[in-house]
Amino acid sequence: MLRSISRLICVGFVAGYCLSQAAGAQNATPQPNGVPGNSNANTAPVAPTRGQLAYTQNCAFCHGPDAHGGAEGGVDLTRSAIVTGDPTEAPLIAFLKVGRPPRMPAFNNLSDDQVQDIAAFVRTQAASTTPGRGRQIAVAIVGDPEKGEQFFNGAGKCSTCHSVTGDLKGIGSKYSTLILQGRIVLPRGTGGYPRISFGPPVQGVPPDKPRSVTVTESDGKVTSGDLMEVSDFLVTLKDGDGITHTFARNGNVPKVEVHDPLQAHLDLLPKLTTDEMHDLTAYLVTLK
Amino acid sequence: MKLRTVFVLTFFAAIPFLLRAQSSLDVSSLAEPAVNSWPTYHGDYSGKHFSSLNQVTVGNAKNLSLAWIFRTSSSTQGAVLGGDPQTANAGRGNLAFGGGRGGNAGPAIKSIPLMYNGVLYVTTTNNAWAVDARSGREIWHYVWQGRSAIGNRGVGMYGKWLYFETGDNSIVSLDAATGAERWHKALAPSTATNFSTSAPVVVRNHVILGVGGDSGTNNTWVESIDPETGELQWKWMVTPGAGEPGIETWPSPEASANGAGGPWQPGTYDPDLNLFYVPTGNPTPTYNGPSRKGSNLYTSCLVALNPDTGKMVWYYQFSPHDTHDWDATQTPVLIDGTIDGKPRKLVALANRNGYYFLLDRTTGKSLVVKPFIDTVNAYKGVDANGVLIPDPSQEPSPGGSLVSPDSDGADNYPSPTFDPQTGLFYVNATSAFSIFYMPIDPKAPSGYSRGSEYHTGTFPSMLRALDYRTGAVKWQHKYEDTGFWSSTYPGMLSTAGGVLFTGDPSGNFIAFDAANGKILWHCPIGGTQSNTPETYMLDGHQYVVVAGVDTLYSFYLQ
Repeated sequence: MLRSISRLICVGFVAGYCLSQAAGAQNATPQPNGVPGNSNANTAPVAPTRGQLAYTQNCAFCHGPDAHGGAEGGVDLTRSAIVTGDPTEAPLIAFLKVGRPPRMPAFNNLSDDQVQDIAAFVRTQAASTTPGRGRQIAVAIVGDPEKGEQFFNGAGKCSTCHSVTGDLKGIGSKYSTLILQGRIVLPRGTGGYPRISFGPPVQGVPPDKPRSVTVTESDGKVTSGDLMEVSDFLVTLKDGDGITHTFARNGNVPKVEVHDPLQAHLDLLPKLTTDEMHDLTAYLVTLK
Repeated sequence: MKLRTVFVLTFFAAIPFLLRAQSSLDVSSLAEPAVNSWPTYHGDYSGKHFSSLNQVTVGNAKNLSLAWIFRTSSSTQGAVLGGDPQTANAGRGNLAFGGGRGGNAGPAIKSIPLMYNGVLYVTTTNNAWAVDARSGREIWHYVWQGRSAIGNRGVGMYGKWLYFETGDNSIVSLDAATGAERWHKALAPSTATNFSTSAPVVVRNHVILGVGGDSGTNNTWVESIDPETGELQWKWMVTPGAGEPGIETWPSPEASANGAGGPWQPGTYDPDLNLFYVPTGNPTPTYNGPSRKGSNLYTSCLVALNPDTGKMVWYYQFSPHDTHDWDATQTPVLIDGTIDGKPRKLVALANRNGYYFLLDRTTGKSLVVKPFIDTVNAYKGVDANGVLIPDPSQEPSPGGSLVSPDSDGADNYPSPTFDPQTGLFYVNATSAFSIFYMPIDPKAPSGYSRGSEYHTGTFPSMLRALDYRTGAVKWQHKYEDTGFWSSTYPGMLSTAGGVLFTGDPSGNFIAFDAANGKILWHCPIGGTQSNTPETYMLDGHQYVVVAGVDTLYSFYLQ
């Protein structure tokens, strides 16, 4: 088992090294004047340089120092149509005035000139093809597809609900490896940070399967629908007609029964090992 | 209309002068548990977040009602301004996080407000307010114009002065009565990748500050300054320099010098031992273990410093060679307890990595290392010295590693609480999983080094009550929903009335019976509870004050 792990890790590192070699070659391409790494102290700062300062002060914390996304959840700006889609930067200027609360605040402290400079900086960063954060990362396939198949039909009990000729037919062509592996673990959310399950749809990721709930009041009245929210004090559901109902809870009154269609995933998750996940991924990517 | 405005402005302008005479804090009082004030970040030096107040009880907590609310505003109108307008980013400091639907959108209050002589001092990044603790009205608003940061934990107080760290690494001393700036000094260049978010802690004539930063290439440190002049007294670097002890745990002095370890959680203090306990942050490049082989001292540690000299007396590392962003910046809770029938001076910490640690706080010797969530899977066990052994196969990898907890941790910086009456250590525990990726970049990785984390979308969380001596779960309350933010962020307060206060992931502020977890009272506060609650007596009322995103809520028994 240990040897197997080390073999897989070894394969993984090699794959990663190859990826990064390609990235390193890209990094060696000429950079615009004044971009970090190219000291040019005697010339006046150009837009990307000014932009980097404004970027570092306003954007880097969430979107990362290189604009390829950050651990605090900011998206890869080099791939953002708002940032790079229009040379006049009109969409970005308009966007920054209002932001997208609650995650993305407005930055109406920035002048239009500063926004132009920031966009210029982000464009210089897009020249690099080093794998970014989040969904853009290229995942190495390091598992054993045969073991994955065995796990799928055996210990993992995946075949209880899924079929490789039915619902999973062609799954290997449908998603990137990153998304596929994430959805093997749990097909909920977008992999993003924070754990937003109710946010707007994300390209390439289907909407979450809602949990269903049945509420039985003390007089026997039953209301069922998609679960919107539940706490010790309230339960909110949306019924088949799209009507929202909220019930106050007091202990077991009314009776609240939640059904999660992903319960089998949730039950498997604490037992699933990294190796088993790799094997399953290696198997499912073969289903083209 | 105009006349009324003039009257109101005059009235509020007069308040600082009315208060000036009495607003001077004797810092020697910080060694004793506070009753009529909340004079330092943790309430007192122990970090227990336990109050001896007992007006609110298990029997009457159901009658708690709203005293007032105070909603912060990013407007600089009427504010006292500091900093450099050229880099102004006023009011856009903290990440705004909403508590599910209907969450407020303003910058989140992550600070624990100080309360002294009827005035609360509350902060968000680059913003500080004095608020009348009787009415919830603003007395003054100070805005530092400069680069923002993820948050601000609050102010420290000495005499009639406040100390406030800015996102871009300055320390500002303010007149508590007026908000007027007395002086400021740069702790690090504003252009450095450091950021400063901690709340200063005052020990005698030392104002002790933490400088953080883990998203670039920098080192970090704790420093002590003179409360009158701001002059540096000492500086303790988290990562060692060439030739210093601990450098052997880094591949090179350069790696150490860029290794971060930001000590941004305000420390706790034992006056008898004269030791100041500082938990340190994670090493960088965060996800890139191969670039910094070794245990990476003194990151993800608890260190005991002499507050007079800054010399380290002992250290204990919670997460050797961390690769999952598990800083150790949780509250070191000082417990005077009993182990095997003998009185012991202890320090307990529920770590972001999912383990509860109990140490002897005189020596740093490990007594208990026990998971407080059921899903931890990144360690092989504990070595002969009681230190966790990381499992290299669970480091971020090109194929992805399935790890629990996620980088947010089983808990985070908001404080847990220890109730000496029940002997229980309470913590909000979250069992999340993430897939951690790390494409190896041989070219000088930095910051998060383009590692990546795929959050698997499930974040069950629960309130757990642990026996402080063993870490065993005595009771738990599982929260019904996981919400947007699980329960990682609501901090905790326990009280002699037997009532435990904290928040759930659905945006409710809840009073529990500390003995058994029974819910006594709750109030939806519009968004996820974003700080750690506090309590104090004022005019014969026991107030309980808590933040829900951009708003402070104050409760008492009418």
